[in-house]
Amino acid sequence: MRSGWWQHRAARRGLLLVAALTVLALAAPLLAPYDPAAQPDVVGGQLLPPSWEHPLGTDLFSRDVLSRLLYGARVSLSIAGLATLVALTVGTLVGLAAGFGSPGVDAVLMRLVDAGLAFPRMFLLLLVLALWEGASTAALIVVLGLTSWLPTSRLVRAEVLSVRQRDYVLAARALGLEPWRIVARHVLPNVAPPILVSAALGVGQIVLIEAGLSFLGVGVPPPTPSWGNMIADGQHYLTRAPWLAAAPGAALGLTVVSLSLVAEAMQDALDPRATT
Amino acid sequence: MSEPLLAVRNLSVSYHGPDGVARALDDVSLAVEREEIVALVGESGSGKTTLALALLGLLPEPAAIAPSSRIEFAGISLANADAATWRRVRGREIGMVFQDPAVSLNPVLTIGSQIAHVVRTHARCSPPTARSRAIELLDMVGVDAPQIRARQYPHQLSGGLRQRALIAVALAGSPKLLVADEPTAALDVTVQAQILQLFADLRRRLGMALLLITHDLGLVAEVAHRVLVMYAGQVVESASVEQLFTRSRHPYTRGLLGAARALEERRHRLAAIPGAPPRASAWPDACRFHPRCALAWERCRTEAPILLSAAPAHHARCWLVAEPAREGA
Repeated sequence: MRSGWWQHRAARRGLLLVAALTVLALAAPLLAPYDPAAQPDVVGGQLLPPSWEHPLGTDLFSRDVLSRLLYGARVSLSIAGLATLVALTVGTLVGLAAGFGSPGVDAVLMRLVDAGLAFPRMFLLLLVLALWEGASTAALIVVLGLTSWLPTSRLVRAEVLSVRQRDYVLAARALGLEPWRIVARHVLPNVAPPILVSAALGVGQIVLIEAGLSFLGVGVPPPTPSWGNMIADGQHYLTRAPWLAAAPGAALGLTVVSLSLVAEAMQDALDPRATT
Repeated sequence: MSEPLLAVRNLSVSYHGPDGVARALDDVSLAVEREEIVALVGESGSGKTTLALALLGLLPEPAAIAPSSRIEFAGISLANADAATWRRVRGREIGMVFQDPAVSLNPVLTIGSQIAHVVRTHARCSPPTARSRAIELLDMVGVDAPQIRARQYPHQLSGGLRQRALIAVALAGSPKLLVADEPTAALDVTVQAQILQLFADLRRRLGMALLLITHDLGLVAEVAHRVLVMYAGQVVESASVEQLFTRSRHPYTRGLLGAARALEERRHRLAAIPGAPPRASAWPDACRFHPRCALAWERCRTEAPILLSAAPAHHARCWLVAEPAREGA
């Protein structure tokens, strides 16, 4: 299986891209040519186009865009990754409980999910972050995670309901396997591919939501760069300095594409019938 | 003779559905001795699978076992047993082989890991020990190159090999009784014979008992010691294989035998039993077979027959046993 994984071309590309992004984010202090918050020349160095000194130009406060992009990767990727992890964990547990529990448990959980989905997510996020004064990045992660698990739980529940009807689950029960073992060994591997694909796409979505929140002023607070607030800042100068929004936008696009490549490869790798 | 390994007494199971109550099993009694092969024969809808599921406590939600029912397995009472009892019984006392190996094996796990997993559920041992036990089991059920097969996925095996793998999974807990529900229904005729031979071998080598559930009387003749014929949720005849094939007493059994013989002799017209099996929510009154029976008379329409003794260890649920003079008529 492991060697098969690596033979998959899309998997290799996706993994290399994700690895490269992670290395760039981790090594930001070594790679960034400038301090991301430094404003060396607020009068003459504003909105400079890309040059040898500033490969991706400068922003309104004469800060180096490349440096901000690298530091922003740390913030955006860790927020998106951790929030997705929270959403995945909660969503999977709720989905398993609803799918495997009694009809009563299922009904209660799914009505709660319905109610949650009926509530506009942005509004909920704004409400929580506005009430939570001085919200830290950790709080942002928790809030983003706790508002993102609803579709995952739906997906997991639907998969569980279909898998639990299969004969091999009945066979496993007939052979004396305990319910939690059946869930862990027979149900989870079968529901994993759709969960992982939705998670990979979810990371991209959370980066975008974080961008929206930063744009509205309740996301990552200003001196700290994130791809979200960089795009938000750049929006005002789309015609005068397009590189401001284009650089973090391209980085975001690349992240989402490479994650979905990995997700697609995972889907193939986890299904032994799809031979490469 | 000591106590039988499995004794089912007066087992009644009903399903409460939206269109009334379906009595899937009605007063079924059977016994399986140690190292004995008992065959349970009947058409689809006669209650065979319900019986198998009841033996393992796997009846689906709306099913109810009547309080008077008794299921005794090696001294353990199983009718309406609790979860702890079932944990002790499933897999290690009673093993089950399901009908269709294509869907009864998990498609995303290798054969070896599925067997090893069941081994580890029932015996405390290290993963490598479980793994070598899995290969041993595959070898025992007649799989060539078990080391290679253990690393393969179900879809990479042929139907016959999959069925052997499924039997190996069922044997992983070293059960004393193996229940096989239509184990050959999804297989080619040549492979069917091999699988039945395997069951006979396994019984001899492992000293286990087998309850073979099938609709095919021809298969039964080769391996079983005793046969129970089921019709409409009831046992209608129980006899040794010899008695059943030479001196069957129930018209339904004779009909089944006639259909089987017609196939063997390649007659152009099959000797089919007229009519269709009744539905579990509306069994006919009195004798449940009388609407399809050529020999039925007034008594059959008014009075439900009980299991009557036709010979030692030979019972039939038919009034003809009580009034043999009518058979010539």
